[in-house]
Amino acid sequence: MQRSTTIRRFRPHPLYIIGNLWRYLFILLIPIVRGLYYVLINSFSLTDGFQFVVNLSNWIKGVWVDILVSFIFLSLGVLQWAAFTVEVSEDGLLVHRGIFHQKTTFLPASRYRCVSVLSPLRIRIFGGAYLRIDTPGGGLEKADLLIMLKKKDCNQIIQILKEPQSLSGNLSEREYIPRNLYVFVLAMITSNSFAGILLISTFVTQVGNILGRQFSEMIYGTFENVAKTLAFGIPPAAFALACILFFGYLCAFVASLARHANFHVLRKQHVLEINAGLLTKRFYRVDADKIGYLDIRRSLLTFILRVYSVFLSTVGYGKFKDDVSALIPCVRKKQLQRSLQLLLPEYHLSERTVCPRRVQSLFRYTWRSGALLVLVWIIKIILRYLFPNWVELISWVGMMANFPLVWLLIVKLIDLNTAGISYEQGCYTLRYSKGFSLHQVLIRPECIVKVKRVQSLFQKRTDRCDVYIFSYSEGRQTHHVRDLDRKSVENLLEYLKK
Amino acid sequence: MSGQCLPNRALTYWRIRLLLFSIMPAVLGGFFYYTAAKLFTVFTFLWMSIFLLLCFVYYPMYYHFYRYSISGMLIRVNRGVIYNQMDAVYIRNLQYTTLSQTPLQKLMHLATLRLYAAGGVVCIPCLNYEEARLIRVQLGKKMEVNNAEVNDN
Repeated sequence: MQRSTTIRRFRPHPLYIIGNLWRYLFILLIPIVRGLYYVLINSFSLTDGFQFVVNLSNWIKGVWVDILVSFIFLSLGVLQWAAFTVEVSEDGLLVHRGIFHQKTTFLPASRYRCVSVLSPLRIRIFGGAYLRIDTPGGGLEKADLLIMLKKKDCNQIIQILKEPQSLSGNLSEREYIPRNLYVFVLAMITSNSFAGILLISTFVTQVGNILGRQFSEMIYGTFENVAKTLAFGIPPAAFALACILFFGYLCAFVASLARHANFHVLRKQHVLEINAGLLTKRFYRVDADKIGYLDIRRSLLTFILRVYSVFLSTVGYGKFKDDVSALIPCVRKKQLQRSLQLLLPEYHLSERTVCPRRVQSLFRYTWRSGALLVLVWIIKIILRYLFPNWVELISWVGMMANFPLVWLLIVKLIDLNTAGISYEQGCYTLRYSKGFSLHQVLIRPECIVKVKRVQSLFQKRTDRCDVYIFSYSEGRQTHHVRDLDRKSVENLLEYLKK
Repeated sequence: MSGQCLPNRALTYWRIRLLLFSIMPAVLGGFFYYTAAKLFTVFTFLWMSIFLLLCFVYYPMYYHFYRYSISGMLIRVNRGVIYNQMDAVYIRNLQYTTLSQTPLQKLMHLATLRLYAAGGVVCIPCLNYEEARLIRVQLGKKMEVNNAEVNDN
């Protein structure tokens, strides 16, 4: 049966004109330089030096040049907008752009991995949205296609790009809406103090730039005084550090909460539709057959609380730092399998069949965090010896540095007891830890691009090995499971060869 | 050597582009002419030598060795003067294509075709515009056929 092809043409949102004009800002240098010329040429005198004089009549005579330049400046933006067209058919998107440097891009519909519509508040109020399309081609730094369109045009494009309904029958839609508490927990575990600190410091510096240096100095000064007043029994510098980390975390938490608010997932046939966001509304459409892998992630905190967060890894989803990457924000163990079955029945979580030995693999799992602990201890002793006046601060910082390392050691010990690989119902389950988080990765054999088995000199004696599994993605993504029995791994890898 | 070569205009295009790029060092050299005569001589000698070398030795050789071929499955590009390089990409791995034209290329009816595959890009510069357009359309169709075959399997 042949498909009839309907082609529809779209243009960017008129806001694109303004958004695009910054590239041609240099043109405005002409009227600025002309104005300065008339000020400087009349203000300098060899005898009297500099005296501010403006020759207004001469400047007015040449005003037509400024008007012409401004007209050219605005025309360029309008011309860019007029030359930008998006032709959409069931086959894909054909994008024409550029006045001088013309560019035609064709993105076949079969290659899309993730189609997203992002509506930041500043654009949404004018009825605009960004359409973003990602394929495994192109780079990690930017989307393969990002266009500012009218919201209704975005919806129409998504409707046109939808693949025809399968003839096998219309499966019912399944929806997953997490409880608000679970979104709250997800925001809690995905927030990062460092990102928050960056956000705060950028904000204070920018406000300082706008309102004057005194303002930012006032904020920093007040903070210094508060830290000195409230630091009971601990050094003020340490208290200030703790405050910065806490406020950084709080800020990142609020940003994460706003990002994940109104989160819900819809499964329609073979497509997942994910909606989230408070200020910036985000919509993602992901083909379930093209998902790279599912990552069930736990931190030490969620391990203790016995809750799991499921993240989805596919090209274009969670690509940028302000993107949503979760699929199931937070669930208890009992609900995990049920929620997965609801949204992605293609993925199955199995019990580990190949795993490390508890005693023999202990060193392999813990030596890094153990070595770091010892290193911090040695540095602390040396510093106390070198700077006897700073003993209090050094002890406190040393203790604080030990805290994450002990945390890491505990994570590695849990990893030792949970790591492993298994294969069931056409799906691999890889359990391992990376940094402070514990991962359970569900990956199908066709999404594995490479497997590497590494055996160190020490592992040869016990015939054990480390396994690196490389998954299909835009960049390099590896899953590293440590110290497994070589023969069992090779038996399991036979599945890959099949 | 198998494969197709680029149109003659490609060499002319590279030379004109080089000439346009040479305006900058020529203007810079002009300033030195009045201020530092020795520097002007050295600088002019340098950029003129590079210009002549590129214009009459490197570009003709690059043009001579440049070959591209598009078969049912594979796209190959052979290029290089000092080092010979070959880019090969399976059509089934192609993700999307971009056809671009600079103002000069537009005047000369040339175009650059970029083929984005998962993990790499193959670029064929200065193709005949009509030919480049045809390749882009044909590759688009082949990509769809490949996808249909994969789905059927």
